[in-house]
Amino acid sequence: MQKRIFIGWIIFIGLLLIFPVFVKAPYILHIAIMIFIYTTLGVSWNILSGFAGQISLGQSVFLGVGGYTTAILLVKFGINPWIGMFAGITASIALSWIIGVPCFRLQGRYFAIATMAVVQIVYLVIARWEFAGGARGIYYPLRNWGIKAFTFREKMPYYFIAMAMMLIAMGVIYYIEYSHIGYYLKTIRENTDAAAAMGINVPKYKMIAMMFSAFLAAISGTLYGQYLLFIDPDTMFLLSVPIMLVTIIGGIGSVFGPLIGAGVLIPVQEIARIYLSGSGRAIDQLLYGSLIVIVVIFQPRGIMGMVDLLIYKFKKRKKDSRGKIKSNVLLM
Amino acid sequence: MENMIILQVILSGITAGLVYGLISIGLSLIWGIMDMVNFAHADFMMLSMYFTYVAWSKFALDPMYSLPIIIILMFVIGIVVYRNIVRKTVGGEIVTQILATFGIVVFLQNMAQFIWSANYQMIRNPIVSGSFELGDLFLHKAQVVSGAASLITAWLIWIFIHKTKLGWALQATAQNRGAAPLIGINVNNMFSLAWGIGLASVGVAGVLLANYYYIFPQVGATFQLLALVAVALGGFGSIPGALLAGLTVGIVEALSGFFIEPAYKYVVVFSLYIIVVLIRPQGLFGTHH
Amino acid sequence: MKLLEVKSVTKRFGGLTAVNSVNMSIEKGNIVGLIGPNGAGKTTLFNCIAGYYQPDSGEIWFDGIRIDGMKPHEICTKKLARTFQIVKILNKLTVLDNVMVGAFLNSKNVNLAKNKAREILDFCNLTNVSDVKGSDLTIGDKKRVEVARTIATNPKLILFDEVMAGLNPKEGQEAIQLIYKVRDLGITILMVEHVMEIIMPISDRIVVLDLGRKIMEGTAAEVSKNEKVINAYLGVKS
Repeated sequence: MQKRIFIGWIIFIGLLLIFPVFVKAPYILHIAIMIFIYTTLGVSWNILSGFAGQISLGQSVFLGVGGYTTAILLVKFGINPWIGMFAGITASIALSWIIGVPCFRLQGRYFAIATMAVVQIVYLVIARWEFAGGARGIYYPLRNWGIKAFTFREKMPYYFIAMAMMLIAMGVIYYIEYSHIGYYLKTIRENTDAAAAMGINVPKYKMIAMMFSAFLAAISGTLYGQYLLFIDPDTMFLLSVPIMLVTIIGGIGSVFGPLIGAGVLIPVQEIARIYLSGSGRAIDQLLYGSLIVIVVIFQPRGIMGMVDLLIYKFKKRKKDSRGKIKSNVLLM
Repeated sequence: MENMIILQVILSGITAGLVYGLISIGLSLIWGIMDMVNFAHADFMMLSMYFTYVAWSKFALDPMYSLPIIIILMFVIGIVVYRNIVRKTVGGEIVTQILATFGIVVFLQNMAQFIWSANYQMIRNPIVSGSFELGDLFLHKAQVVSGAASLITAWLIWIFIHKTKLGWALQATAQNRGAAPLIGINVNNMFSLAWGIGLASVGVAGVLLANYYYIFPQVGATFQLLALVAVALGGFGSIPGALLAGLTVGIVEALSGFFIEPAYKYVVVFSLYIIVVLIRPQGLFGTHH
Repeated sequence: MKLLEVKSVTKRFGGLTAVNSVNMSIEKGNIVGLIGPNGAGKTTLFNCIAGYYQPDSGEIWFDGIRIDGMKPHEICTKKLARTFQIVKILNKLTVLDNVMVGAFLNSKNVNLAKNKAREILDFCNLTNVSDVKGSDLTIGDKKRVEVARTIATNPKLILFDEVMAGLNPKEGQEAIQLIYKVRDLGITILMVEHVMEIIMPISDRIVVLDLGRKIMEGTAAEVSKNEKVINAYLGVKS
């Protein structure tokens, strides 16, 4: 079974690598890049809110801090974006400590509200901070190109970097799922008293989840900025909803949820935008809101949940039919 | 003269705070009775603001006349939303509850944008317009009426909860959901009632605000967080607490807008929330849940 | 040797003194019962030992370390574990996973933890349900899973909090057998219990609390004949 999964991954990665060789249309590559970025972001939210059960309604704050740190260092100090990315990671993780250490004492809903408050505070501060471009945002300089400058004219390099980040994200979630960390986080999600009774240092593990979350969101933020060559407070701090949506629909708390969710939703969103939103009336957005409510109420475990259910029913049917045949043989 | 300006600021903070208080009361009611946070609360207010606008623009009904109709409408919507959507998440994981009402937020905001577009609307020349003077102080009629109406609504809800049989049933459900059926209380009906009253009261706030505030799909967003802050500060389930906390938020907002920069007033309010909730999880006025 | 020593522990809640200057100690390898009428302070004392409450005065020593004031998870790492009166197992995980979580305390390696968990499931007669989700178990099995995962943390002492509550007589007998098996592993046991027929025969020593004070300590035979104890249960003021 392990071998089959491993081979599956090799094939999948192989396909991803070959894909841009055959498909050169920039628009399709753009969709692929967005899928990769949203998968990474979805995984980052999933670790904290899905696995550890600490619902965060302000995930984009880490995205924004990562992106803005890189942007400011590049534009104001001429610092290379790769180094800027590390700075962004550091800033994001530092922020996660500032939020986490005091706020993890708070019970679920209060924590969720606190995350809402934090992202609002950061958003409002940045929107007024002239040094950070204020509400107008920051335009990236178009002087240097190439891998060293983390700025490219074509989509393909971005595609590979985004893909690498997605693979890092999947690697992280795999590690968590199959190590003691995953078990611990799921225990914390369900019952913190039981967790403590088994020697789990609950605040410590919540913090571990948050740091992974902040890390993945930060690198996405840096990439996002380098890709758009522009950031402003709205782009960076108002993405919490799509991030959550992608994860919820794919399956919150599952390893593949964000990947599936992004893989389904981003293309659908693009198609909907082309055909439906011409009137500017946001019917595609309307569908998303309905989708969240429907999924959360009727199938909280998302697409992955439905897949699991189908597999379970399939296995059960196999077991039942085998049982029936057996008893017939005995009768004979 | 300086004192006059500060007094003016505080007064507008009070009227705004009373409206926050009214919004918070509905939220606090639902939270206290059902142990559930309605993240979509202020978006229902947005809905009632749009209803008010439609009544005014299509039927030439002044907000003060459409008020009773909208109260009933919002009450019904509250029950419908509870029975068809929210009920399914009761007793489930907190994750599901948070995400379900959150999904309603996304739905409502986008539905409003779809139906009425993202343009900012405003009601012109309602009955309550203009201002009146009190010595050196200017008071906008609309804001004073809002403040007064909020107080009256809060008082009416308080009387209902504490002086009527149905209100006692609500209290009983809030205190002990498990034991309530034993004395003949249909808990499901109580929850429906809580949602009905909650949305009706936030509907009142919406109609009042429509008199002088911009109407647009995302108008609920800021008020939601302010209301959440107020409820957390005031202790959920407490009507006087929610009102007082709303007042506090309004005054703090107004004063920080005046003494620091207007754009930072929310920063102060939200930071206040974080600080208070860390030190005293039951809020400023609440009792330990 | 004295594994657990409770020295003059007092715990107040507002005006009520739930535990009043209680002294007790437990020898390694013993099964000690903690009994008393309702409101005697058993659960409060229990929670003080387990780290859920901090005593207002007094000291608690375990295995040579002072543990009062430590957080519950720290105390677990010091090899003092507890079960819950209202079972707190993980409903979404399988029985095997539940026990693995306990095993991770001593080894972070997933395979080692899995093997250890399987051993313990076997020990507790739970192997046939090892892949069942927590929510699908009977109450008896749930309690057994909680015992299993507690054993997995490799404790020197286990605090059992009314482990018999909610069990029918047959399940109760199975629980007693399991407790004997646990003792035979070398684990010391402190049990809070209401059901006399269970706790009397099983305990090496019994401590009796009433209204926050320790009124008697001795063997089951001594305790059952003691006038103060009888009066406490009958409600007669002594």
